[in-house]
Amino acid sequence: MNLATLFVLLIIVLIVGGAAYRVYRSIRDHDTCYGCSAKCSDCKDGNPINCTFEKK
Amino acid sequence: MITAALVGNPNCGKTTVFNKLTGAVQKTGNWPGVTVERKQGFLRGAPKDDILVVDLPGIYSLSPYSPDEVVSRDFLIGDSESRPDVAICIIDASNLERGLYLLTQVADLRIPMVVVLNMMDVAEKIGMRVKADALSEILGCPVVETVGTKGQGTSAIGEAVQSAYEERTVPRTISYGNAIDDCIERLIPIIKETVRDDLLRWVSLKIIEGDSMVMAELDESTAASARSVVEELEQQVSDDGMQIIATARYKAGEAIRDGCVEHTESVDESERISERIDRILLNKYLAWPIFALVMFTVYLVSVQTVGLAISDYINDELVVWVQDHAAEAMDSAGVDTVVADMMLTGVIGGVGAVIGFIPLIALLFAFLVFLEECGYMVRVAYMLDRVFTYFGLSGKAIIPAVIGIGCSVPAIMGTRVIEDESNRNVSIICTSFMPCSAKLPIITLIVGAFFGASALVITSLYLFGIVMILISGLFLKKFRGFIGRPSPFVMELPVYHMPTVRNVMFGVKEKSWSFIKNAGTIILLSAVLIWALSSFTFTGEYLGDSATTDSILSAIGKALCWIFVPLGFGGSETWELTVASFTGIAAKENLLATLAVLLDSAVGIDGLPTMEVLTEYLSVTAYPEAVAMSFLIFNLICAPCIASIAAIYRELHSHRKLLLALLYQCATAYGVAGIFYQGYVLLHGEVGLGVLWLILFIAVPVYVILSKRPFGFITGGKEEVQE
Ligand SMILES: Nc1nc2c(ncn2[C@@H]2O[C@H](COP(=O)(O)OP(=O)(O)O)[C@@H](O)[C@H]2O)c(=O)[nH]1
Ligand SMILES: [Mg+2]
Repeated sequence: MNLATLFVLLIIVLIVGGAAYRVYRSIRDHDTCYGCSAKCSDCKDGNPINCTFEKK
Repeated sequence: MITAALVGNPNCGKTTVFNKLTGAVQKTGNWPGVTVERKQGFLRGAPKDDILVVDLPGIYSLSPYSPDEVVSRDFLIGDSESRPDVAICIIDASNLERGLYLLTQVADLRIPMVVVLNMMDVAEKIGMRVKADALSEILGCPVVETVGTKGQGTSAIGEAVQSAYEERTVPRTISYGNAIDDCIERLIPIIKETVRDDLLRWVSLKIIEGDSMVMAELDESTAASARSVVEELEQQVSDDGMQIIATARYKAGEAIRDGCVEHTESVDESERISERIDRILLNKYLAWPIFALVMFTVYLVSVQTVGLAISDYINDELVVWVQDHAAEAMDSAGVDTVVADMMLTGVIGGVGAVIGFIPLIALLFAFLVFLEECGYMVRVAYMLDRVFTYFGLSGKAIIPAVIGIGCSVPAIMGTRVIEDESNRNVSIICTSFMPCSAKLPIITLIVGAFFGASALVITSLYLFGIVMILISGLFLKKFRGFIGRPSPFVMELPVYHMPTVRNVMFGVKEKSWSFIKNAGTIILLSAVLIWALSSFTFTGEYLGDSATTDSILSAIGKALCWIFVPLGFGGSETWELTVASFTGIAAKENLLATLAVLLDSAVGIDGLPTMEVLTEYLSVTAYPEAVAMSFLIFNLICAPCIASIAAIYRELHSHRKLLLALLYQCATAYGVAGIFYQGYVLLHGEVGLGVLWLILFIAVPVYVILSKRPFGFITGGKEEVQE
């Protein structure tokens, strides 16, 4: 395995790892609503707003 | 801290004012039922104490008819410690009567109140002058005039709330005439023991109305003696209690209005223009053709011509360009072929297939948000209302159907505007039949490859969604828990107005966002996974970048594809379609990413545009266009993506019902796609075993819909199906 391969592999691992982390984080934060462009975690605790679509 | 509740009719501008007050960006819409849950935020620049503003769903009254009315009512009544300190009652100044009807009810709750007269600009345009000081004098509480869209006057709301709180400016008691007032006097001693002091008058009024939720809280003897007092009143006035109160409230509202409105000379320009437009757009004969034409034009521009051209460019030029250059670079740097292929096909190919459709989606939503904001969509709802009630569904089911063109998740939650539980269940299950934005790229790809990207076909697929909802209404009515009463949709048609660019842009951004979010996460992950499963054999041997025949994925696909034989795409030579249908559960765009990863190697010709790859791929089947369409229909109707499934579960609150819902969706998808495919085959003169499938797919729903008690034979006829 040469250096270039290692480099590309590293990029892929970073991209895929990043995606996996984002999926994990969205599940952890219950941030799975597709109906809203805001991150749910930004809206928690009445500050600044509660999500339109979240249950009480 | 002061808690202030925003109450008002749907569409009076509550959310607009809320956004101005708190600096939040919540979706507004020229559309009732946009706010289904309460939201809260702190008032920016509060004069003294912190003020927490709570935006409640829009309501017409405080009678518990629909879930949003119950949400608002519960919040306003609260219990003795936790009721809002101040009620901010927003009234559309151009539509005073309706607003005042609600206001009298809020006033009866004896909460310190601030009245906000919103839409002062509209009122002015139609030649009304609402005198805020006169209204304030009549009601005995602060009144603020605002233009929510421009933020005019909203800064005065904070001060008004603070002073209403400090001085406890509860509105003056509104008199409903001697007969009712006497009746209240007699009811109060009866309920005094059981009811909170501040609510005595309100509860008395509710008892006269015969409000079921209030009555249920009284003990039996109290309820009985209260009933007899009310019956006396009913005899005296010779009308039923509910009607008596409603009339009295309207009268009180009119009296208040007459005390504070002056009609100016200027003519109601925009209303007149709106009326003239409506005379054409809502014309008995023209309304439907115009609606079809509008939708056709929208799809003509956003998909067939401009949108597709841009997306094609991105898909076939930009993504290919990136792939080519990346391939060259990696080749010359001597990157290992497996790793290079993973990068090119898995990462770039999979994500690129989805990204390319963003301009198309954004364009479509620019049109739809425009139509919604300017006031046309609510008229479409008005037209569809009659059709829906005819099929035994609630007219309000249209709202989720229209929201569903964007995304099923908010649409499914939007079903909360439907009062009738059974009708709501039907809506929750059927809403995802409307093609959401994630399904649009699949539609575009297939209609593009086989039907010349015809806007006509695409428009028909949306109408097909509506038709499927209607048929489901008939079908599901035969099951317990789904037998609802049709209830018409009471709504006012707002005047047409020009949407602001900002609102349209916000809507477009919101609708397109999930695409970008998904592309970088779920789509990317599953594309890489699909690539891995399709590039290696069970023994871990790499197959090379143009073969998937012996891969793990092909084994899985071939093991499952028999399921779809009656639909035409179950042959082992098209196992990729089976796999794609399954990956659609993660997110519907995933179908596309999966096909992008799999098809190139299946076709074995490099560098073809995506659509031609698909045509080439399906050319091995006997009726390629029928197979493609059947595949499309199945995936439009079958169980939605995982996020929507979660939303369905949250709304149905039951595993059993969820399972039934998914089963119904998949079975329907299977049946309809089967009817299409087998019908197509039959029409082309091929009479075979498929005819049996055709008969089965048609007979089952027809039997259920036509028969009075389709499941009588299973339950021994015990199950009662009421009409
Ligand atoms: N002309 C005018 N339009 C307004 C005003 N306030 C809100 N609107 C528009 O009225 C529509 C409904 O507003 P929204 O806040 O969603 O109403 P809600 O249903 O009460 O929350 C939107 O299209 C707003 O842009 C106003 O003061 N003047
Ligand atoms: Mg709202």
